[in-house]
Amino acid sequence: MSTSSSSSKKIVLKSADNETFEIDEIVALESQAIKNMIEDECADNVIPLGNIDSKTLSKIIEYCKKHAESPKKDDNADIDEKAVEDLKSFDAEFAKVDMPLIQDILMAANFLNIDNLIGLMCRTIADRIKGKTPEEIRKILNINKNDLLSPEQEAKAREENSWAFD
Amino acid sequence: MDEMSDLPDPIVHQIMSCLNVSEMITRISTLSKRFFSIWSSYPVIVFDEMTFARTLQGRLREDTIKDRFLDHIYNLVLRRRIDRVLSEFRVKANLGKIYTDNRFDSVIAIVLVNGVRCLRKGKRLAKDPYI
Repeated sequence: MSTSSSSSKKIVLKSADNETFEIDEIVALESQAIKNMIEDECADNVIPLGNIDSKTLSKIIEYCKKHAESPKKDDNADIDEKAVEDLKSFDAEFAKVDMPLIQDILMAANFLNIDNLIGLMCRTIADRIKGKTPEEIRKILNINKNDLLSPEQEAKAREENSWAFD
Repeated sequence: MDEMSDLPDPIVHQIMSCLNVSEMITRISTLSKRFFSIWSSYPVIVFDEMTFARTLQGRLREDTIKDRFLDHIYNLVLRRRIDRVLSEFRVKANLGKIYTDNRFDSVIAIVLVNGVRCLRKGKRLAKDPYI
C-alpha cells in the first residue's frame, strides 16, 4: 500500500465563502480534477473552489474521506464483504439530505469529477422522482416557473403521450 | 434559475438512465423547457409496446393502440435534434403491420442518420417479428 507515505501530505481547499479545509492528499485524490491538478503540478498549497460553498464542500470531504479509507474493489479480489456493506450503508446515510443540497453536491461533484459521488447523487434524485406525477416532480426538483412549457406546448406533449400520464 | 437548469446534459442523462425509460422519459419531457429539450439529446431510446398499451387497453381497439404507438415513436423521434448522437434505439413490440408502415420507415431512416449503426431484428415469439 502506498497510502502511508502520501497520507501525511496535506492539501488545503478553500470554499466560495472563504472557509479553508485541510485534508490529506489521499482524500483529495478522490477528485479526478484535483488529482490532475496535482499531477500537472498546477495546484498551489491552497486550492480555491470559488463555486462550492462550505456546507457542500464539507459534505464532499466527508464522502471522499470515507471512500479513500475504504479498500478499493480492484485492489484485491478477496475484499472484505463487510467493508463493502459498510460503504453501502454509509452512502445510503450520506444521501439522506434535502434536495437543494443533493443538487449542490451533484454540481460540485461534477466540477470536481468524482464519479462515484455523481452516480450516487443521480441515483438518489432518480429514486425520489420515480413513479411521481410531473407536478410532484416539479415540486421535488424545485423547477423554476419561468422554465415551464407554455400551456399549449404542455397540452400537446400530454396529448401525444397521454398513455404515460394515467 | 433552478438547480436542474445548471446541471450539464450528461448529468441529467445519467439521472434519466436510472429511470424506466419509456414511461418516465415521456413524463419528464413535459416537466419544463429544459427537460423538453434535454430529451432530444438523450442517447438511448427504448419503446415498449407493452408499457404503452397497458394504460390504453380496454378503452381502445387493438388496431388503434398500435396506431397510437407508432405515432408516439414517430413524434418523439422527429423531435430529436438531428445533430445529436443516438447510441441505442430499441423497439420492443409485436410489429406486424407496423413493419410496413411509412412512419416506421421514416423512424428507421432518422435513427440511422443519428448514428445508430446496428439494426437487429429479434424474435420473442416464433410467429411474431420483433426488432
